[in-house]
Amino acid sequence: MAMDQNRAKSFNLFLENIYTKEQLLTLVDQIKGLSSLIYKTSEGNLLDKIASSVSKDTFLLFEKLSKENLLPQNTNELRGFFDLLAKFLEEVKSIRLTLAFEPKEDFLKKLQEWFQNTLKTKVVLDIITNESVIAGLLIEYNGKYKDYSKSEEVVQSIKALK
Amino acid sequence: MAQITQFAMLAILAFNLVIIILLAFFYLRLAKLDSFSRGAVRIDRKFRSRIEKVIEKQSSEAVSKLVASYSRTLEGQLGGLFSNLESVTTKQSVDLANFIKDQQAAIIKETQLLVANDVVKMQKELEDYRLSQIKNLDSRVNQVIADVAKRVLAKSIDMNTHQELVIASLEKAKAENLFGDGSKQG
Repeated sequence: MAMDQNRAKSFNLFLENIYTKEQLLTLVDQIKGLSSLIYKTSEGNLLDKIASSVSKDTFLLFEKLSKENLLPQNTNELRGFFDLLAKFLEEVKSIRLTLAFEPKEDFLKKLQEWFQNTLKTKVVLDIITNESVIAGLLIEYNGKYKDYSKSEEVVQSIKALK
Repeated sequence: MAQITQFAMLAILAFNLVIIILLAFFYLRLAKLDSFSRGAVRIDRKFRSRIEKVIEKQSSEAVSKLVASYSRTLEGQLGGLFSNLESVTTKQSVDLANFIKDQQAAIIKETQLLVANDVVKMQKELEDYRLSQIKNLDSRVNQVIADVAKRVLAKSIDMNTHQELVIASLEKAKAENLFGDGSKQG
């Protein structure tokens, strides 16, 4: 049980700085790459192997896990760890937002927090930028779609002017 | 003996002479009969020729009479038939002329009606096409204006306002329960 809690804690660490679906997919690719890497090279330190295959942020996470002894040492167990981590990350829900502007990281973080508070679960944002939205946003979540943009209001205003 | 012989010879000569005379007689008779016979054949030919001529003449007369009578009858009948044919033809010609006249009138009337309908139809189609083109143009102009306006407006809004509007929209979505039952309470 304690092991499961540790694993969940470890896995959640990887989501800490992930806000968008694009970031998540990149991370999943890196983890899957590690899963096959451990069998290819038998010699050398594991962290050295990881360092050459993942981003700096991801490497720092593995380093932290290694220091806290949360990373398995056995090759097969490590393979299982990577597989489970990839599966865990792939199961994170995403929510598609169409915005009129390119959001900066701080706003992405704010949005993600808003959704985490609202949905009581971690989600990643699938951001699409389209100026036609004008302001507000379009939301696609769990098969539902809703337009909260100002686009239609502008179109109606233009029609009313004629 | 000699006398007997002479006598016998004389007798033979006489007999021969008689025979010769008889033969001559019969020959003459026969010649006469032959001549008679030939004469009879000639007579028969003449007679037959006359009879033939008579029969021929009578036959010719009878046939001529028959032909003349038949011709008269035929002419009469033909005259009647021609007369009938003429009246029937005349009637049919008149009927045909009337029929053609009626048909011409009907065709002209129908054509006029069709042309009138086509003109009305074409006018309507032209009007529909004109309206549809104006509508299309209107729609395209609107689209262009809307696209330009959207881009200009999107750029003209500052980042803070954009972000506030996004958060406001999310709150609205939450209030409308877009994220499920749990989200409404938060």
